[in-house]
Amino acid sequence: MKQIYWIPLLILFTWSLLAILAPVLRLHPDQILLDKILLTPNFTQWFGHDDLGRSISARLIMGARTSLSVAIVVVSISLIVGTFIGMMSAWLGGIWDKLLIMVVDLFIAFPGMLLAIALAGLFGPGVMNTVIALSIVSWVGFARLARVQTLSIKKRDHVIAGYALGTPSLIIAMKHILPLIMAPIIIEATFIFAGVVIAEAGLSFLGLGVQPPTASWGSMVRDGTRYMLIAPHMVLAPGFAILSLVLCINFIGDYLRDKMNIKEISKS
Amino acid sequence: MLFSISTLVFLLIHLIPGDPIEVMLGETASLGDREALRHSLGLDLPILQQWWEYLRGILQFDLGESLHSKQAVTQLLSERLPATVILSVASLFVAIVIALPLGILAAIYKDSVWDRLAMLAAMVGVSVPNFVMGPLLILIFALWLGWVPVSGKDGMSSLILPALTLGSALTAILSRMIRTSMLEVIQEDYIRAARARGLSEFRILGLHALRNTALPVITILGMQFGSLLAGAVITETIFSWPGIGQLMIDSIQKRDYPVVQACVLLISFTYVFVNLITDVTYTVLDPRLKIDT
Repeated sequence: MKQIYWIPLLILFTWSLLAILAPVLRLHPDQILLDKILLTPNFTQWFGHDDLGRSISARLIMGARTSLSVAIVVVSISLIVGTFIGMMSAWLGGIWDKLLIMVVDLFIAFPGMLLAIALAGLFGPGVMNTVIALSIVSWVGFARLARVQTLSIKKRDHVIAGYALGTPSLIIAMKHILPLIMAPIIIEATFIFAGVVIAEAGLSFLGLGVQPPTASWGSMVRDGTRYMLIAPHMVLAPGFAILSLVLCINFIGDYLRDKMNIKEISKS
Repeated sequence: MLFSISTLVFLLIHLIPGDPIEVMLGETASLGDREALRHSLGLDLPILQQWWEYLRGILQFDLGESLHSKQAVTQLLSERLPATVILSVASLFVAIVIALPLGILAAIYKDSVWDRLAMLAAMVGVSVPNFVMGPLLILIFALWLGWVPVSGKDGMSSLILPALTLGSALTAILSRMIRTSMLEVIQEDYIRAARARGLSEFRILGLHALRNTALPVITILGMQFGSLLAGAVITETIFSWPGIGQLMIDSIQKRDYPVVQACVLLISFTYVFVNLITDVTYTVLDPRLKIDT
């Protein structure tokens, strides 16, 4: 599989390009065509129309936009916050470190998706709340990883030398520790990215995430389940969209991990 | 641990903006009615006192009553619990039954076509979310082939699809894990010694190698049990399976806070409990390990 890593890259690239170009493509994802309700795929509309006569291909592209933007925002927030907290904890040590371990243990004791469902349910539905709920769940993974990595690098000679030379802590942290712990963190980020894509779609599937008429793959699957007998394409199209995106990201993550020769990072 | 989880759940539910009273009575309710309801639910007490009452309730297995149906929450939970237990046990079973041969075969015939295919299948299995897997299986086996019912809980045949759906991700993770640990174990000296003694390949792999892969497998099972439970929430929604997960989603939609709270508590307690059992199982499976006291 290692030889064909460019295929997932290509698919990922296509989805991102479609998502970015969505405004220029003159799509009408919310346009209701009553005469085309539940129309099955044909040559002009590759993926057919849904229960309101909306074009599924247009909604797929808008769904990619939702999915990717939520995932990018959540991963960026939790990467920055998590890495910062993890590094600080390892750097300061003592009571701060103990406190972080306690918080992390508490979050790990919770099944992540369950916490996200509960939070999204309590915050009420919406894109913003989905992002908040998923960020609250995701930062822990980065914090734990950054902490362990920083602990192992903190005692290295070059850091001690920097300390002895009177380099400010901030510069040591940013220039001499951060670059060394970035590789595992980036790999963790790919897996968390895939997880967030699934989680966002899952929340939307449960009706707790992105709200209509905004398109989301998860809510498209949910709407489709009601018409499976007469219009299976309504489930299949968004289903395979989610599958293709997540599969590609996981492949890339695996490839990076093998390439950078990093031992199994816990996927939680 | 249980104490801090309870507190976290309490804090989450009470610190989050949004007033259940307002949702229940609607915006037009008079101030007097609101206060009356607030008082009868004990929501007008100071937060610390509410927390104390809540913790005491948990210790006495009294989780309050549903805001909606006025039934005791413990009763609601005990009605729904068996369905979820059956579903989780069935999907654990599915996962182990599929993953064991798959992982072992992949390890024995490393780098062969079988290995590649098995690992590709595992990768796909990790990447298919429950809510895509479920409808796909329904489409194929219930609608097109008509072998099993679409949804609901009605006899053994209705359990097959939900169990497969819920078990698929675990199967994938498990088979990867079994392959990796099997590959490690096969290179050990005692396996070579067993070969030298002329034991049959079946005995070597089945008895000597498999026993030593049990430890990482149990670890993964324990760790993944949480995702399994969370996945149950989605799976139960897809298949209208009358378990805890469906109860939780229904209650979220009705803003029935005591029930949501109880569901989250129950699921996370179960998870912590399973992890505890996992730790204990280690020492049974592998006498070399001892829990430090």
